[in-house]
Amino acid sequence: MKKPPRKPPVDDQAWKEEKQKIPESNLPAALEEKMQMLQPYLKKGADIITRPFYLEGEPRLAAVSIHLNKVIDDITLDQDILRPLMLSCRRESIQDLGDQNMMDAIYKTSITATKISKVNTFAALVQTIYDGLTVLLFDGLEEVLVIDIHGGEFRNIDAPPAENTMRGSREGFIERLDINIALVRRRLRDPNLVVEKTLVGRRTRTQVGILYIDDIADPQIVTKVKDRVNQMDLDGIVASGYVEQFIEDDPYSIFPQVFITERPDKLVAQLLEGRIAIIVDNTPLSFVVPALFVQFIQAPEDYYEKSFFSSYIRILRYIALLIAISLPALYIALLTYQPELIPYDLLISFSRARANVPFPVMVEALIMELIIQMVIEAGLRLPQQIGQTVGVVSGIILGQAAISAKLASPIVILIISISIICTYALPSASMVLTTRLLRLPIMLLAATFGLFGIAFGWVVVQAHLIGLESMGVPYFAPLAPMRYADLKDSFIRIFLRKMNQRPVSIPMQDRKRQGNDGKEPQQP
Amino acid sequence: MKDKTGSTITTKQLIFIIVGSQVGIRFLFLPREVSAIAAEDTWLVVLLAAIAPIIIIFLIDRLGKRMPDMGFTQMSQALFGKFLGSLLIVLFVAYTIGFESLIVRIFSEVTKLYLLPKTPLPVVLFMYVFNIVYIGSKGARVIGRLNELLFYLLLANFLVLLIPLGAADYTNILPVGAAGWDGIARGTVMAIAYYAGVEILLVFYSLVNRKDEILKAGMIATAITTVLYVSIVIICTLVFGVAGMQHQLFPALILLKVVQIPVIERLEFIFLFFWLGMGARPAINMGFAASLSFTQLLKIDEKKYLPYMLMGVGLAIFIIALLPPDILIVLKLSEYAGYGFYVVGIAYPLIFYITALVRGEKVKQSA
Amino acid sequence: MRRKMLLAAIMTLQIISVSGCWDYRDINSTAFPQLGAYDLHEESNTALGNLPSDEQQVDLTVVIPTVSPELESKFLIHKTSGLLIASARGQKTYSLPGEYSAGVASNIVFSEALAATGLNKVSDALSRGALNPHTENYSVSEGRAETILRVPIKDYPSMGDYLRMLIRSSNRRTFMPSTTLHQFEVDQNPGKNPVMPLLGIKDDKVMFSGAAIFKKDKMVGKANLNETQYLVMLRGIPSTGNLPFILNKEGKMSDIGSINVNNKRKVKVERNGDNFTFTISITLAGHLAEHSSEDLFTQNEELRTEIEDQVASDVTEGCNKFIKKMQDQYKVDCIDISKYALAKWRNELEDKVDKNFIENVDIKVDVKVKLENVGGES
Repeated sequence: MKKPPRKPPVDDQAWKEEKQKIPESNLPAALEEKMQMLQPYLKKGADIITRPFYLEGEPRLAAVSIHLNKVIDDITLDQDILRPLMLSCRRESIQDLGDQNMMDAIYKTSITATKISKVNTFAALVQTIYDGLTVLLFDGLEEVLVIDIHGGEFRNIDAPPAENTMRGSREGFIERLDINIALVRRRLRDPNLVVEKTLVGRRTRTQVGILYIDDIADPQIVTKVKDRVNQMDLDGIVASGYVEQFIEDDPYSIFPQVFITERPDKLVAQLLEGRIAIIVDNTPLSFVVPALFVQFIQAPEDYYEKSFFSSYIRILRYIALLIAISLPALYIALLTYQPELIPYDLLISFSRARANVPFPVMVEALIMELIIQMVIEAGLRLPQQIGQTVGVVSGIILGQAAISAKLASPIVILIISISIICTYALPSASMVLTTRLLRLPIMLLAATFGLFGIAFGWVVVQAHLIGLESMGVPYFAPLAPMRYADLKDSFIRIFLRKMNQRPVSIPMQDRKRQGNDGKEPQQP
Repeated sequence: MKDKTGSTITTKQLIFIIVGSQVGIRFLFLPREVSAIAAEDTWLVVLLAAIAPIIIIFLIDRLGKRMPDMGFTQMSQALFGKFLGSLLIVLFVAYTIGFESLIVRIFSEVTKLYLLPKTPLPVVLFMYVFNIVYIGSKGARVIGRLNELLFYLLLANFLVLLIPLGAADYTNILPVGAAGWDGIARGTVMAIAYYAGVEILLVFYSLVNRKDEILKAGMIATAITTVLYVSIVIICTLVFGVAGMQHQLFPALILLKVVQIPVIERLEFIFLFFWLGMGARPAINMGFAASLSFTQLLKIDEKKYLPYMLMGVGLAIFIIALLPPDILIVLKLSEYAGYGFYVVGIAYPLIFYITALVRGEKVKQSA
Repeated sequence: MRRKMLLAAIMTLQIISVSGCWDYRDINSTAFPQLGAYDLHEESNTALGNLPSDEQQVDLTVVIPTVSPELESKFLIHKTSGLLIASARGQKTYSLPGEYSAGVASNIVFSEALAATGLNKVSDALSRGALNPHTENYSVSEGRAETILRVPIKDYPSMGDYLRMLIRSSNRRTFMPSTTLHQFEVDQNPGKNPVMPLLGIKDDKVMFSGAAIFKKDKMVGKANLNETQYLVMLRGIPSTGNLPFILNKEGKMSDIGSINVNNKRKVKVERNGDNFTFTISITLAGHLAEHSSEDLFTQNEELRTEIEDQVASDVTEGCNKFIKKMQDQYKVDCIDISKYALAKWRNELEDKVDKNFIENVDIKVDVKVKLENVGGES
């Protein structure tokens, strides 16, 4: 039997838009009609609360307040909006001002809430309800009052879980955008700090805040960032990671091109260097562009301690990065391709240690590496209490068992453990992920081409890093292009008193950040 | 005419590009070849030969000053007319590709000899060519930065060469002048070929952002290269003696086998690890120069087609590098490449400059 | 499009790597010899003429540490024969499983007989190997080198370890020359000749028994332990060693003892037409190790001078004897002084310096002893 011919496929995009469109019509003046228009939406949402009331005074003016449950601060609604309107509105004084000025008069005299605005189209009305704002519909007035009294339950300001520090503030960002912005403002009271908000995502309508210091940041970069954010056209974003991936320069690169931080003090330091911060509502993270490679090896407490300690620890971190990426590969290459490089006694003892292991070195290293990666992943998902124990136990037992079963030699376990420890010595989580991934291709190259393969892999990685750009700013500055002035803050951290200029690697307007040119404070 | 991607290189990067194009792999057998003629005075001869790159840089700089903002291709066509000019460019590209293939081949041979004996030659060649194509396709800016970064990283490598001085015998280098004027003269001519790479300035001239500093940059680059070469020669002579150098294929590398330091027992592997992995800069720079000139010649959009051009050049290098059957022929060919340098490196700037002088104002107007 | 290109390249690379890692060799199946002994093959026919290609001329015996922990003995000794060294190595594959890495051997011992026929041909294999360092220590054995290797050794893991440590520290502790492959090659240059330590077996123990004198690459003579001391001082190899002395006063022994000294030399050459005069100034500086008389060294200035003079005269006498032996018997410049003449008149002397040169020059020795301290290292 012939199949009935299919209907021609409807143009999906247009159909969707048609369906989603809320008519942009103007609002009628009568309250009944407004409620009529809202009926279909009110039916779909059981958590939309409507509260009809009359304004105080004669003749009775009907009004309705509509809001989403538990998204606003109930106490403010009751005390600052409903109470004055219902009880002490002083209608008489505003009665004869006429429709036009009635609205203004109402909210300027009676409502004691702060963030008030007006809308007059139906689409905007619906959006504002769903955006979590309170709307007041008045009978006889076309315009609708929109009041922002966000509230409800949210997490308290807490120490950031992933970025611990010994010296420095323990406050971390939380999910509320406004509070996050407030945390930044508290630390950076410069009037030049610009805060711009946009909405991203057609359905989620997530608020995204862009922060920068007007007279330091490079206007071209600011425009670029804003353009890219505004060009994001998708259903919705759930976390800032989405925004990151849309605005980064090169999605194919495994290196992070935005710098993520959970801490307002770190963020303020970045802003002061002329960078641009983006905070996304509902994510307790902020990220900063443009990002440079050296940032991911720096930690904020580098600046809180003396220069010598910080320089030493920074150099340690660079060594850790190198070890983390290439130690397993070096082990493979040396043992299989160039054993002559190893000192003779060590060589014989390695031989003896590997005597009974049936696998070739490459397979051995690869197996242990994969097992350790899975242990790490499992450790992330386990609940706190058993996570630690399982990690330690599995590490020790696995290692011991592997050696006894002659699946691995003690050296390879040592090597892999050292490289894992070095991986986690890096202060930035994104770089940790990069390192974990980067290890594998270098190991494969080492297994095929020995030391030459490692060198080849490094060159390719270096070339990639050098060519990478974050918002048009070369990623690997100050190492390439060599910005000599910035070298004093990359491998070592020079005395704070000598850091007079902002980093040259980032384009900006105002270079000077310190006044006394590094001279000693004058004796009285 | 700048690289259409708008990329420019700084003068500091130019220094490192020039040094990177000169100091490739041929310095490994520089002591042997030149000391066959100049005996104990090899160091003097190498020092004297530095005159050549200085003159070349000077000529190119004057040439560029007469016609700023012109790329090499445009310049050639403006000076010599379309046909002859294009022919000169094609010859230049052919020279570059040939030189590069030679260098890549020598690199691969050394790699095979010391690091990967059984790996087939095409595989090793492929890895070098891959580097050339990948890095070159990123544009002049990245090449400049890469040369800069690698120069500093690899400087430490040369310090390693100082370690064998413990086994040096100063009498090996005396007396000075033993080679006689004839030996010194012939040796100088031969040593000049080792400064090949400086002709890359012809192509990179138009990409530099501050043209007035190019002369100084060129001098510094020549100085650096000369110091490196002379030190290597002196150390080799001191440690091996002239007769000893003739026995080894790559004396500068055997130099590192001579002493052992604790922990890192084999210095030459460490040296090679850094050098072979990251040292193929002459090939990269020249590959880029060749592709750039070619795209300018064919008047196609650089930004879009540079990667393809580089792939083409890479393929050519790969095929040509496979041609010579063994290392001895390769070394002989490097002598011919030296002659090629005399033509392209010395004759080209000379001809161009004289033509520019002669045609004078007419050229400036047509620019 | 560039992405696709990159992808294609990566895939090609992976295909290549999957198809084989050509240079892969696993460390626990590789043999790492510690010590090699080169000998003349016992039944070899060294007459010139047509040699069949499987003619064997040299023996190669090596000491290889064993890897498996269950074995009782820590090393094994393996001997093969071949035309020259590399072909002898090639024969190993028939009876030695796994890869063979020649580049880690730290000591090579040549037999006297082999050394007399010229060592360049056997050293060539080691010198050309790309993976070999040039720091292997060369020495010559009295008798066959193989016997040295096979001397049973109880106090050290293997003969390889013993010899390695013995030779490596030899010239820091006593006046004994040591030669590496590099030194051997460099000493083939005009005007130079190598010397190597001589190993012998005494009381079932392997020990130094002197030095082997070479003319270019052929051994021409042996020096005993006493003469080796003077050889080292004359040759200017920086060493430290112990020199005994006996002081005689009025026919009686007044003091006996020894001093520890470092040696340094300076050479000057003067020319008078075709006559060359070399002046070797040797400075021995060190401290008094012991003495038997009751005179207090710290208070007795004369004692010090006497000791210095006595040692100086002993050394001068010994050196002069050695020089005479060198010029008359060996007829070869084993004290490395011709290079100073070459440094001044290279063009002229280059061809002549190895023939009939050293026998006809005047060599004057001037020894100075300086005692700087008491005690110190011995």
